[in-house]
Amino acid sequence: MSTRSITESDNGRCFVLAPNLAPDWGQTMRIFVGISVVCLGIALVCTWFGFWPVLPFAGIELTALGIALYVSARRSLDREVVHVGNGRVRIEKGRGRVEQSWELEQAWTEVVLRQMPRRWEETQLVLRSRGQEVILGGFLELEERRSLARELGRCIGPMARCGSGRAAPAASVPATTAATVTPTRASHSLGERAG
Amino acid sequence: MTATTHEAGHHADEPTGLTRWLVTTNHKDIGSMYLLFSLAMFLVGGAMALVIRAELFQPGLQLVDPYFFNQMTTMHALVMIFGAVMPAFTGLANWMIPLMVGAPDMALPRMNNWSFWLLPFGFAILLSTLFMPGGGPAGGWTMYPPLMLQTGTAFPFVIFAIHVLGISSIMGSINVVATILNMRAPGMTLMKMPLFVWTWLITAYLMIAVMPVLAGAITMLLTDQYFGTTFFSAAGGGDPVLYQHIFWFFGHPEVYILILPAFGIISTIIPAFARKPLFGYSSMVYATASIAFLSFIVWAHHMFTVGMPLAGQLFFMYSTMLIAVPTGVKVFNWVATMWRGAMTFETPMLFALAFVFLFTIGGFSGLMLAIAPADFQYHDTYFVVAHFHYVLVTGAVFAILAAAYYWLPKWTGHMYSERLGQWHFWLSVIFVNVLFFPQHFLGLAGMPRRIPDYSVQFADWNMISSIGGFGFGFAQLLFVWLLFKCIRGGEKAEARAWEGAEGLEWEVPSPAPHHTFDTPPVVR
Repeated sequence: MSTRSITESDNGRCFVLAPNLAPDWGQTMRIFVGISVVCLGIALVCTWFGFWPVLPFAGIELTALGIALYVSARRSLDREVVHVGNGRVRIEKGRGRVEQSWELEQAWTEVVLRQMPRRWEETQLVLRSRGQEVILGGFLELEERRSLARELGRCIGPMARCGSGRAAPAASVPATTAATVTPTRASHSLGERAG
Repeated sequence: MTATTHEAGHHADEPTGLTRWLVTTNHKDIGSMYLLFSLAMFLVGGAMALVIRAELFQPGLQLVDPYFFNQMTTMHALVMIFGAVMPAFTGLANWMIPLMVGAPDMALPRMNNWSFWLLPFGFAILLSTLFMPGGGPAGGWTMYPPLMLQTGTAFPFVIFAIHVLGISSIMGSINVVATILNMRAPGMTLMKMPLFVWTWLITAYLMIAVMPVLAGAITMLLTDQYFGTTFFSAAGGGDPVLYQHIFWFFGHPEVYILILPAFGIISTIIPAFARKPLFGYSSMVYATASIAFLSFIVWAHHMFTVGMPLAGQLFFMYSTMLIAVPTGVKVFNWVATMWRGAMTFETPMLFALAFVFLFTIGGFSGLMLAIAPADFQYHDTYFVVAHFHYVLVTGAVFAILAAAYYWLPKWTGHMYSERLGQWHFWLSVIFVNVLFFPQHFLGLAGMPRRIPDYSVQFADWNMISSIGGFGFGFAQLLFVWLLFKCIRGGEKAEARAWEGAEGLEWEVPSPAPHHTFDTPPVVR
C-alpha cells in the first residue's frame, strides 16, 4: 500500500492514499481469456463426449477466477484523499472519481486510532469532528495507518492529539516513519491524482 | 511521491493464541499452517507406506488383510498427493510469493484463510472413511469404475472430501494468479520474476484448467452410483474406459502440478550455492511453459494397455517423449549454472543436487515407460511404482525439503543445525535409493503393483526395499527434530542468510516481519 503527501499551493497538505496494486488490466484480461479458453475448451470437449458435468464445474471455477481478478484489480483504483488547509479538513473517497466527500473543521478534528473490541478486527484510523466520523485507510497496513495518523496529527494541529489516547495517540506513535513532502501541486480530480 | 516507510515489530493489537491461527489472513501465518499441515500429512501418509512395506517385507500375508492393504495403497497416494505435496507447495507459495514479488500479502487474504481451513476439514472426512462400515476407498487413487463403485458407506464421503480438497486447491491457485498478476512491485516485469514465481504461475494455470475435469469425473461416479446415470456403465451405454481418459486428462497435468514448483525451487537454490546467476533464465521459463502445454496431450500413455488404435499409441508415445526436450533444457541449465561456480554444499544444495540426479533417473524410466510396446510389459508392475516415486519423492519431496532448509532461516530467524541437516540428507538419500531402486528390478522381473502377497522369487528385493522404506521413514523424524529445534532457537540468522542468495525475500529481516513491504520495493 502507499501513501503520499503533497504540499498544495495554499500551503495546505494533501494526502493521497492508494492500494499498491498496479495491474496492467489488458494483460490480466489476456491471461484470464487464455485460461478461460483452455478451461472451457476442455470442458466443451468433455461435454461433446457426453461428460457434461465437467462444464458447470469449469463455469463455476472461471466465474470465481474472474471475480477474484476483477475484485483485486478494481481495488487498485481506490483512492482516499485528505486535504488539510484553510482551517478545513476535506476528505474525498472514490474509485476514479469522487464518490463521497466530507468537510471537517480543522480546529475541531481529532485523529483517532480506534482499537476494535474484537481482537481480529483491524485498528481503524478515524477522523472525528463534532460527532461526525470518517474512517480512513481501510486498505493500509497497520504500520502505515499509524504512520499516517502521526502525519495527520502533526498537520491538523493540537486538537488532533486529543482523540486517540486509548490506542495510540497520533503524537505518541513512534517517530520512525515520515511522509516526505514534495513540492507538487495537487490536481483536483481524484482520477488524475490517482494516476 | 514518497511512500511512508515500514516499521517492524509493533503488533500488540494483533490476535494471539488459537484465534490468531483460526482467523489469520496473513500470508506468512497461512503459509506456516500449510507447511505444518503438509508435514503432518507426510507423516500420516508415510505411516501408511510403512504398513505397505511391512506387509511386503516377506511373501505371504503377515500383518494386514488384503482389503486393508488396498485401502492403505489408495489412501497413501491420496494423502501424499493432496495432503502432503500439494499443500507443501501451496505453503511455500503463500510464504514466498508475496515476499518474492514485493507484495504485502496475497491478493485475496480471506479466501486464502478459507482455502487453508478447507484442507483439514477435507482430510478429516477422507481419513474418517477408514473407520466406516466397509472401510475406506480401496480402488486406487485413480478411482476407476466399476471397482471404485464397490466401496462401502465411505464412497460418497470420499467423493465429497475430494471435492473439498479440489475447491481448496482451486482457491489457492486463483489467489496465486491474482497475486502474481496484480501485486508485483513496480519494475518487476514478468520476465524479471523469480523462477519459483513463474513455475507457480504456470502450475496455478494448470490447476485451474484441469480441476473441473476431476470434479466432473468424480461427480459422474457419484451419479452413476446413486442417481441412475450410466456414464461409465457399459450396461447403460456408457464406457468405463472413458473414465480413464478423463481421469488421466486431469491426472497427467496433476503430475506436473506436483513437479513444476519443484523446478522453480531448484532453479532458486542452485544459483545461490553455485554463486552464479541461473543459466538460461528465459529458456527455463519457456521450457516450463512447454512442459505445461505438453502435459495436456500425453494423458493416454497411462493407459496404453486398454487398447487404442496404432495412430493413438504413436501419437501419445511421441508426444510423451517430446517432454524430454524441455526437461532436458532444464537439467542442462542447472548443470551449466553449477559449471565453474564457487559451489558449497550446505543441506539445501545437497538436496537440490540429489534432486537433479535422482529426478533425472525418474525421467529416464519415464522415457522407458513412454515407449508403447515396452509399456505393455512394464504396465502395472513395480517398475511404474519405482518410476513415479523417483519423480515424486526424490523429485517433489526432495525439492520441498531443499526449500525448507533454504528458507528456514527466513521463516524462523534461526539457522538450523547443519550437522543434523547433513545427517538427514545422507540418511534420506541412501535409504530412498535402497527403497525405490530395487523396485525397478522387481517390476522388470514382473512383480505386479498393488498386491499384498507375491511369488518367492521377488522376496529378496522386497526385503531390501522394505528396509530402505523404514530407514527413509525414520530419517524423516530427524527432520522433525531439526525443525523443532530451529523454531525454538539457534544461531541468529541474518537478513541474507546465504551468501549467494538473491531476491527480494532476502531484503527483509530474518525472521520476516509479520507485515512486509507496506511500501512496495522498486525493482530495477
